[in-house]
Amino acid sequence: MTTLQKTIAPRRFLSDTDVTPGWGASSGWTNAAHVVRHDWDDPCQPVGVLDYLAQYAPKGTFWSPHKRWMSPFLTTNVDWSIHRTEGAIVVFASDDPLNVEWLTPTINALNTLLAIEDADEEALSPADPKNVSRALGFLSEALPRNAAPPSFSPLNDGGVQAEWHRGGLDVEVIFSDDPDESGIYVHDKATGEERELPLTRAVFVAVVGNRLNVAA
Amino acid sequence: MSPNETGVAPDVELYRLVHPEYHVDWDHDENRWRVKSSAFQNSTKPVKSDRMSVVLGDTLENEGRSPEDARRTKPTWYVVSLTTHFVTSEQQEVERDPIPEEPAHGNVVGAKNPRRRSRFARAARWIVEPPPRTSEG
Repeated sequence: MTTLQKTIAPRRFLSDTDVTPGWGASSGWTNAAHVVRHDWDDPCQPVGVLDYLAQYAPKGTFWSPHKRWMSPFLTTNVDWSIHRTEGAIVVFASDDPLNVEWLTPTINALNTLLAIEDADEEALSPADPKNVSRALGFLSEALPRNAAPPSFSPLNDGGVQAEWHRGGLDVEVIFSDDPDESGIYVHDKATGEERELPLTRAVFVAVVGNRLNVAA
Repeated sequence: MSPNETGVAPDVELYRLVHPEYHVDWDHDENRWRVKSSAFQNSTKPVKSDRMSVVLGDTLENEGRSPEDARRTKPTWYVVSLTTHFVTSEQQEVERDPIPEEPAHGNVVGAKNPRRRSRFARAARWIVEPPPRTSEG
C-alpha cells in the first residue's frame, strides 16, 4: 500500500452543468466524484480524498463511487461512499456495512464528533475534519474487518481519540495536529505495562493484532 | 495529612464531571464502565490553559453537600473522583477557584499528556456512574 500522504492542489468544483448529463445520475456519482475521479491520475487514498472533500466539496455533496475503486477497500472488498452534510461533516459510509463490523458504528460516531457545537464554554470542542479523515484513513488500513468498533471522544485541540478496552488491553489512538499528542497508547492489563508508540499501521498491527476482534 | 501549598489536604477527594456520551466506555474484559482518559483534559475555553476543573470534596462536605451533588451544574453528567494525593504524585497542583455557580470549584493544574490522562482514568473511582448495561454491544 502506498503512503497515506498525498498533496492535493486546490481545484474548483464543477457546477452541476459541468457534469455529463445522465452520467452522474445513472452511476450515482456527483460532481464531487467527477472532479476527484478525473483530477487524479492514479488510485488515491481515502485520507487524501476526505481532506479534499472537507476543504472543497460543497455542502450536501454526495459521492458514491463504484465499489472497490480505491484502496484500502480495494483489498477489503467493501463498498463505500462519502458525503458532506450540512454541518460540514464528511461521512465515510459503506454500502455493505455487514462486511465490516466496525465501519458503520465508526461512521456514526465520527459524524457525531463533527457535529458537536462549539458554544458552551465548559463543553466539548468539535473534531477537526482533518483529524476525522486521519482516523478513518488509519482505521481503514489497520483494523481487521471483524474488529470491534472503537469508542470515540473529541479532544480539546480538535483531535480525535479512538479506544478499546478488550482483549486484555486498553488501547487509545490519538489523531491530532499536535505531534506530542498523536500516537498509540497501550496498557496491558495483565502486566500493567504502558507503551507510547508512533501512529503507524505497522506498529498498531504488531502490538494489537487481532485482540480487538469481536469474539467469534 | 498536611495540606499542599494551596490549602488542599492530600486526602481530599477531587470530583470530576464526566460527559455521559463521550467520556465513558464499556470494558469488555471486566464488564464494567470505564471513564475515558479524554475526560481529563485541560480546559481550552476560552483559552488554552493548564487547568482542569474539579469540585473539591472538603468544600462540599463543609457545605453539607454529598459527593453526588458535585454534578449540580451539570445534572446529566457522571462523576468520578481522584484524590489530591494521587494528582500531586502526577506533578499536578490543586487550587481552590470558587465560582458563583459552584463554590467548591477548583482546578488541577499542570500538563496532562496522553499517558498521564490514561493514568488519571485508571485511578478514577466512580461516584455517579452510568446505569448497568443491559446487553452486550
